[in-house]
Amino acid sequence: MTPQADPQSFAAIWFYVFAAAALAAAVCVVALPNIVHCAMSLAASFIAVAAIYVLLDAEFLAAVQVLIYVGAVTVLILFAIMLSRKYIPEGALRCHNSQSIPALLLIALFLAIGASIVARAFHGVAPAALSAPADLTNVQLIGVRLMRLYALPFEIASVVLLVAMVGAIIIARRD
Amino acid sequence: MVPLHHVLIFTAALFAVGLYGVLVRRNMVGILMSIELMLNAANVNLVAFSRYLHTAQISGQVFVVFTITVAAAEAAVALAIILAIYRRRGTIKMDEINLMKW
Repeated sequence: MTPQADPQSFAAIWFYVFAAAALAAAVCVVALPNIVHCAMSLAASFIAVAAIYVLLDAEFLAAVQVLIYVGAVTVLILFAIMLSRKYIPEGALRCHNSQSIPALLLIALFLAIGASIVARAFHGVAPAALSAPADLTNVQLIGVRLMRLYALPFEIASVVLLVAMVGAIIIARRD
Repeated sequence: MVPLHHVLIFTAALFAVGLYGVLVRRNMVGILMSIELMLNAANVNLVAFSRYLHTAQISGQVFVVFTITVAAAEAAVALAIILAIYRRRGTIKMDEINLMKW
């Protein structure tokens, strides 16, 4: 009789797979010369991050991530690329400025310091058991929180969205 | 599940990639995409802390909802600004937009 595979270790393997996918797509976003390919890599990175949300038991945020980032923000970026495209030969233009090497060194230093601090401070913190009431799903919990404790920020967020919408229309319209 | 510091190191790496893009890209749309990457890294951090340290109160997830709202508003306004600059100057290259450079 073969031993049953542990679902926890399966979740861990999937986490590393999606983390590697998100990082690879992110490197494509900053490194590819063609800006349309960058936008597509950005969508791939967003989808991998949505899968990581699922692994972290945040199903509602995974759905929101796919709807808003992949569905809305990426399409918005593609529209901006389309509307601001000059007819220049592809690949004939440098897409990075002259500071690439210093920036790379500085960020490698930042990453090393940050990773060592994080690894020391949070070493071996295991996930707590899910202690939420079993009859409430993730979506219901977030809804209750938004309507009770976070009602005021929720209303302010709607005002922010309205102001951003009006401002974007006014800035982008033809004089 | 993986230990917490693996998630945090992943988000730090994602943030660093986005930061590199912000520093070296010449295209304004490319810089905006890198900023979205950095926002995503911060969101994963919030969700991870909420999952590992304060599981009962999912304040971290609620906070991510607000972050996504602000990020969407930011993307819309930034792309409107890019379109306005493109109409006026005919370029969206960062080092050719130097009117306010002393």
